[in-house]
Amino acid sequence: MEKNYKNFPFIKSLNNNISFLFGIIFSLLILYLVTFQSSSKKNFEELALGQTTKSVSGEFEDLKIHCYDLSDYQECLYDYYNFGDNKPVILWLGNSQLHSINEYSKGQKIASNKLFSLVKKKNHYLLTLSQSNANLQEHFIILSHLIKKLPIKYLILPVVFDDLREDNIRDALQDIFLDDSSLKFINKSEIGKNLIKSNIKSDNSGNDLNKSKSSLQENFELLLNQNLEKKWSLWLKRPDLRGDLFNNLYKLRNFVLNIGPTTTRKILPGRYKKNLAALNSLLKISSENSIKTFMYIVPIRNDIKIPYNILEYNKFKKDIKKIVVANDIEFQNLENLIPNTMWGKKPSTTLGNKNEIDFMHFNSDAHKILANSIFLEITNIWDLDR
Amino acid sequence: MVFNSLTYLLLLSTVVFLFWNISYYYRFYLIFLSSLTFYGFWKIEFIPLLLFSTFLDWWIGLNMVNLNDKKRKNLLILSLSVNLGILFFFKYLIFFTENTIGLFNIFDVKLDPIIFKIILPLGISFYTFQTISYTVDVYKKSIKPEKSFIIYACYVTFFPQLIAGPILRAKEVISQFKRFNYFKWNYITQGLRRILYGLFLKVVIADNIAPLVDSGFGLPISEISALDVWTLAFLFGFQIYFDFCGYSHIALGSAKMIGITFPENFNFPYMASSPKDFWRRWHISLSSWVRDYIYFPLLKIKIHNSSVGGLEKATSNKNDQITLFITWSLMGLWHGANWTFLIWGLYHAFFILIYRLTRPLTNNLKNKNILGWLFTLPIIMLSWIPFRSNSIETSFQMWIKVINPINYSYLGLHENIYIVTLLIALGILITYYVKEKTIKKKLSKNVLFFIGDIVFISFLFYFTFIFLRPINQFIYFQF
Repeated sequence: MEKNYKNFPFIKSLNNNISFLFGIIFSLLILYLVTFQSSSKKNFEELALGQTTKSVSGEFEDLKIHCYDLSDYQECLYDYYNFGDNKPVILWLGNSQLHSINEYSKGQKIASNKLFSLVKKKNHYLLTLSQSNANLQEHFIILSHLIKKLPIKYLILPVVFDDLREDNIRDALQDIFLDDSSLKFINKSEIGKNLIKSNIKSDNSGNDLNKSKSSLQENFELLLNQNLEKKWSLWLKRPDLRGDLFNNLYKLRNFVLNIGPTTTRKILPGRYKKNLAALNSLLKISSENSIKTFMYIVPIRNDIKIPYNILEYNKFKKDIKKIVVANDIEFQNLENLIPNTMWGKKPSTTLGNKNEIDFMHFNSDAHKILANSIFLEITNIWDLDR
Repeated sequence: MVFNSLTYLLLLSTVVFLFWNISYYYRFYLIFLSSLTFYGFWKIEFIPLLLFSTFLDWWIGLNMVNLNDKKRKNLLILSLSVNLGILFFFKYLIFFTENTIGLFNIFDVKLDPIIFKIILPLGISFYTFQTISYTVDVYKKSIKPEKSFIIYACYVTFFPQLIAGPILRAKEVISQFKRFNYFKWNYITQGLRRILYGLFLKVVIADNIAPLVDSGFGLPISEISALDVWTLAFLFGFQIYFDFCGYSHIALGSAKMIGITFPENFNFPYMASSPKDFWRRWHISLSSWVRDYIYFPLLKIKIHNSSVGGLEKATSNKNDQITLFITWSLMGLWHGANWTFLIWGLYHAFFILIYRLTRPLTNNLKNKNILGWLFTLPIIMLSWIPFRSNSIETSFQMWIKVINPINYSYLGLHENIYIVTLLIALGILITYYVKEKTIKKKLSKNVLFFIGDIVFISFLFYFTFIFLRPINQFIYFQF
């Protein structure tokens, strides 16, 4: 070491220890600087939707009728159990199209709100659960979970071409894999078995890691984390920092590879197949449990070239129709339902601030159109008065 | 207890603080008790088994000293039988029973399946190998038996290496435990530096690759292309490397903080220029253990007895290919009771054999290291397929994809998987180049190195800080 520094006597005393210490201090300073301005926890979905599009909470006369994942669905269940008068439930599953309003202004409501009021008159209770980019595997496990918790009589199920590119079950739904009654339904199909296998992570003792939450390690870790979060704001902000990082990496990727909203999204064959298998399983358990299903292809902005390979998109529609026929369910293609004027823009998904075309979310008038249209369809096919 | 947790960092800080502030005599008890605490956080009921295994080999080692050769041999056999018996019971009994029943069924002899619920004790493959090596070394008189149980117990149960290695040799470590060490700041900073490297590799890289690998290997084989198989093989290769190398860094760093130096377990394995070179760079403590306690004895060659080096001596002395395949079968099965691991071992044996046979032809080639690397890397990466797959059938389906040119015409994975794989591959190359070619030769002598080091540490600490959480176990815990 001495020899190495002979040409630079001023750093003779500086060695690895000091650079290590400086590195840590420097890093902490950056962390404090980065988190200096943000005081509350960020909602990354809101950030992704931007200022023009808002994720709207689905409430009807103080009843929570629209939830986003398992973190808030207990509130929906609570309201149903206490104020739902045991009415038959219509379950509406979907993605962010159901809970986001483009060009939002205060007081505007989402489709689930409107549809709730309509089916209420028919003495039914609409419960909606929507998650951003929800894939059909997630819908399958959600239905498996809710099937014994609610008297579901009808199911409204949108299918989205984009979401067939998605895979994996998000963290917020992982607790479903701890519920034996849900596993019973999931386990009935091959795709379900695979989902269980890939989502229940075992330790080498064969224990389910999720289930070992009450182990000494888990409890102690939780205690340390909670205390640290209380006493050190920087620790509390770590999820935000991770979110920011992934968001920026996403934008950087789009910038470098010139990916925009109109860039063609190709089918990913493996994920596509898995999602369609999940759809089949979902329809099967619906049918076995006397749940009638109405499925629709979601509205999409079509005054400009859609970001799909048209051949693949047509194949998707054909595949969906085949499944509809095979499972004998009701179906409508609503892709052209929303007029072109009712679609808006979203913030940039690349570096820069330029707004981009939004193919998925529409304004509040369009939400009304969607609700009315679905209501019309379901009253035609189902006898809601009974 | 997992390394990538606050609980471990708290335990380690407490142990390090106490270690340097108590007298020499109590240090052994501190290490022993903290190791039991570390293990007990996983399953306290397996501590007696760990202690039994530890005590047995210590007792056998001690009693071997004044006995004649025959009795010594009997004690050695006792040690091997008990240790391997325990390992067989916990690790291989279910596999063995299932396959025996399956075999009988083929011949129409119907046997009722026996249902066992056996929990594999964490780290049993590692500490069993460690205790066996001790007894064999004492038997061969390469080392003297350790008289103090507490010092021997520290060697076996020392928490940084207890559950996933490195597999240490008694003569490398016991003397370090016995030596009285004075506190040095270098121990702390060097240890912390290694821990930071390890945590970064684990929580920032390996844990973020894991969902991509899981997603890719979860797809139907019929829907993925040959390029996808390559991508997944590389990506899993990166995941397991960062996961295990990260673990080893933390182990080495933790030991360093109390003045104990472990041998290195990894040395840029994906830069290896031959399959044999790979095993001098990957899980070095295991490959050297297998060399010294399985391969050499089978070839009747005197053991090296050091957790470094390669197989050069053996291959130049005898060319026993059957021994090669036997050794690699055992190496494969050590990783897990599944045919996929056996296939993995045989695959490596096959390519080491090819290497041995072709080496005379390539000795005079120009750039033979680069050429060797270009051949070795894909071979090694494809070896990870049975390691990660659920069945032999899936492994062969994936391998067959790769050799059929038709399967190269499309892509089936999410774009991000290709991007991440490519970036990591580039990252490894750059890191290797910077470490091997630049730092060692030029930059370490000037101020740029100092500044670069600060930036480097800041970068690692920033990302480790935001990603540190025990969401995934280390892959090697399951072995």
